[in-house]
Amino acid sequence: MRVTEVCLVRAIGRSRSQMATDDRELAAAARKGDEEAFASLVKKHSGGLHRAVARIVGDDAEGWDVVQLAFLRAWQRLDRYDSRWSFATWLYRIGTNLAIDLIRSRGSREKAHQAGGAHILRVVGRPSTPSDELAHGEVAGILDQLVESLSPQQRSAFVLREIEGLDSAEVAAVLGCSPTTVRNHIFQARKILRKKIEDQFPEYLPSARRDHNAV
Amino acid sequence: MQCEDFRSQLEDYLADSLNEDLRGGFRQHLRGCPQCRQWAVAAEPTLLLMLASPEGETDQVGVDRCVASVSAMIRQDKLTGRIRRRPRPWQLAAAAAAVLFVTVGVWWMNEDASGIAVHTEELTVSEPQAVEEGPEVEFQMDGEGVRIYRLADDEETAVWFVVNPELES
Repeated sequence: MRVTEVCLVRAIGRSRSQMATDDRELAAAARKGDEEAFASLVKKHSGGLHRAVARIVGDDAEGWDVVQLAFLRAWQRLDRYDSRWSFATWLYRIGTNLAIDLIRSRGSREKAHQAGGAHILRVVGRPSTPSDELAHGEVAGILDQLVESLSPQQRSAFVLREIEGLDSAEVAAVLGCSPTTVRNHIFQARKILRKKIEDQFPEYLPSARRDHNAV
Repeated sequence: MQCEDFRSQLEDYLADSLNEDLRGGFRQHLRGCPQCRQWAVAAEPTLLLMLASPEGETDQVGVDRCVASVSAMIRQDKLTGRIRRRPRPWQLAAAAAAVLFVTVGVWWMNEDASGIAVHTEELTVSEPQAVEEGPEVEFQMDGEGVRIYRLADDEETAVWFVVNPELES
């Protein structure tokens, strides 16, 4: 990596810590009843939280429901917020736990649906363009189907780390486990997802990969 | 990041052994360079899924709706909290029952104590049973006008009746 790129990454790091400080101040104000301060936190973090949660639960609309509930919980539990954590990490923890609860509550209903013979609902059509030109919505549709085969912890770890790009320490704090456990979840998730993509969505893979699999 | 650097870091990225700075650079290059992305996805298909979340893009309409919904829910939550602080009917009933219980209990204890006192007085005032059978003369001093009847004499009560014998005849 060139020196200019390293400096850019470090500058981004400094602004993230400044953001975290701003969040703590807003949270402190919200704890005293300042609704405007809390609304600022909602505006700041709801988009990112929704991106993560929607991919964990596999549905955009349900993702927004979870996000709203997460913020309401955060409001009700502001007295329990420890400012040693970043507000975002604390919020993501609440949101991820709610998403996992939702997945688990759906689990028994899904088993009943699948009992008659599993089939994958292909809402994503055959790509008309090579994989390097895929729209994010199309890939999101693939991911929403594939994550069904992961456990809630694998799903959360993979989405937070690999899709949303959170730090390893942040993901561990959100999931309440060690960074090693996070790494294990991601390793297992990749193994399962790799097989699923090759079996169910081979058309999205570059020809080099398809040829490799054919051999 | 140069393509050459990117390709050399793929294994470390998949092993999660890159530091966060390098990891961020790798991801940025993966999103931005179609050729390297195609090469990387051929090596590891799951890297395709990173495109599911476009970096920095936000559903602003969704965010605005979320802010409005959360603000409304907070106001509702505050209102519900205020309502809950008022005592509920069952709490009022329980408090009234407790007060009634204590009041009746105190009254009953007072009534019970006064009943014992009356009973004691009655024992001293009421006519002794021995009168029907004839009281036993405990002591008599002839000429002195003193006759003492023993009306009751047990473990708890002793009653003597002092009379002038001349009055009895």
